[in-house]
Amino acid sequence: MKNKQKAINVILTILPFVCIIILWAVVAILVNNAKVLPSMVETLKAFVALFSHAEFYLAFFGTLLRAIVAFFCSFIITFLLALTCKQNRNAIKIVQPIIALCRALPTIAVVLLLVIWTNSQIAPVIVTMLVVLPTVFNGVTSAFNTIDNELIETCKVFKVTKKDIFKKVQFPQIFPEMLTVIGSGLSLNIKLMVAAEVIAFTSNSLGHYLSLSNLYDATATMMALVLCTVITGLTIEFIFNAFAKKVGAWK
Amino acid sequence: MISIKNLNKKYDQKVVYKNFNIDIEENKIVAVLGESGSGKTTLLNIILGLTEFEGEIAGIKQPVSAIFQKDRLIPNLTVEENLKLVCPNVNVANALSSVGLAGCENLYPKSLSAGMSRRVAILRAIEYNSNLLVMDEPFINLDLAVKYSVIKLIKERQKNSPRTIIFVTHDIKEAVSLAERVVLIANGEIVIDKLKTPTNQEELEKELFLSITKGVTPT
Repeated sequence: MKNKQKAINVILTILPFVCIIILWAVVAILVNNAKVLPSMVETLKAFVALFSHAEFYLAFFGTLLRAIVAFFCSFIITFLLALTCKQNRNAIKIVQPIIALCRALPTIAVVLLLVIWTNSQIAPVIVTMLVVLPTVFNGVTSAFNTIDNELIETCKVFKVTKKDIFKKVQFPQIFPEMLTVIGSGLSLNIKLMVAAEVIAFTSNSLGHYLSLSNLYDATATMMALVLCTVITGLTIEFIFNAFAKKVGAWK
Repeated sequence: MISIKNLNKKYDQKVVYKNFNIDIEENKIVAVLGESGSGKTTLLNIILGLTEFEGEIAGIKQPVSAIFQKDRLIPNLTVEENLKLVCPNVNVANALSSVGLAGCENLYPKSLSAGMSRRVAILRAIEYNSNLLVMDEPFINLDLAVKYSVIKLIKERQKNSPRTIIFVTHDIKEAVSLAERVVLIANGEIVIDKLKTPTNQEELEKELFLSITKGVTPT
């Protein structure tokens, strides 16, 4: 019974991907123009070919590094903001408008402005950091809300030290949620970073690679780059979710 | 002696206590009875310093331990870790076997039954070296045999190292069995306040029963 459910779960997870692949194959046959929509085989060939170019590695790791830097800047800021809001109810009144402002930012316009004010390397980092901030803030806030205040109250009655309360009660309770936030946030960041790099024309980036492929009508390479971005995002999310599941085994 | 004087407490418009007074002798076990909403838990929370109030409380000697209505075990810690967090020097294996939980050291609270979880919460409170033990309906979720073995354990501990114990319950038998003094609260006032003696147990139980069920017609 358990194995049957496991098999059903695996099938249900794979099913959407299979549907997308079938749809892709059918549309590619119908369109029959590799410049508009390359077939899966052509895309896979382009995907493999990417790994034979040294520039691709520079672009890939450049984007990854920028995405990680942007995410962790955003994460540290939101962590401090959420912590302040948790400790001071009035702080949320100041923080909410900032979050709302970040949510309303027109991404493309901000990238263009930031390119003028900074440079094409820094602009995508700042814009990605700002755009992802509301999502990460919500995630961090809900992670903080998973802490049961009654447990903290109990620890205080029993005179458990503040250090132990943090180390043994608060941190282990928020840690699995934080890992999930980091996984999904990083995945989202990579996607946003590539978009920002295209607009900012950032050198040594997947965005730049994508722009060049577009200029040269290399649709298969563009598709391969999209595939690369998707796989990277999904892999990061999967690793963090698995880790979160492991450290949250007590749940 | 714990002395509560002119205690006033209300939730919105509902007055729970108005000029309530009670003195509790040191190292005695006091049971507080009363119907739901009579302010029993509020009284315990006031003693624990968890609820705001008007009035005076004197004589509470720290440290204080508590058994809350909910077990409040730390979910990410095992049974052993839960006990060690509060009582670092406790012999976990011995303590657990004293409440029939031998071998449960490495279980997380989610894998315990309600009764097992309750026993761990009780153990945590009685193993903690406190001057005052406050218990809010401590024996809920315990079957009869376990309940009376835990009552026996508390009595033994009290004999060896006495401390003030205040507990809230709905169960008259439980109250009379463990307590040395029984207090019945209704509408924020003390209705019955009696010491238990070796000869008045039955009479006390009867008096409490009649007072609690006054006005209630059995069908």
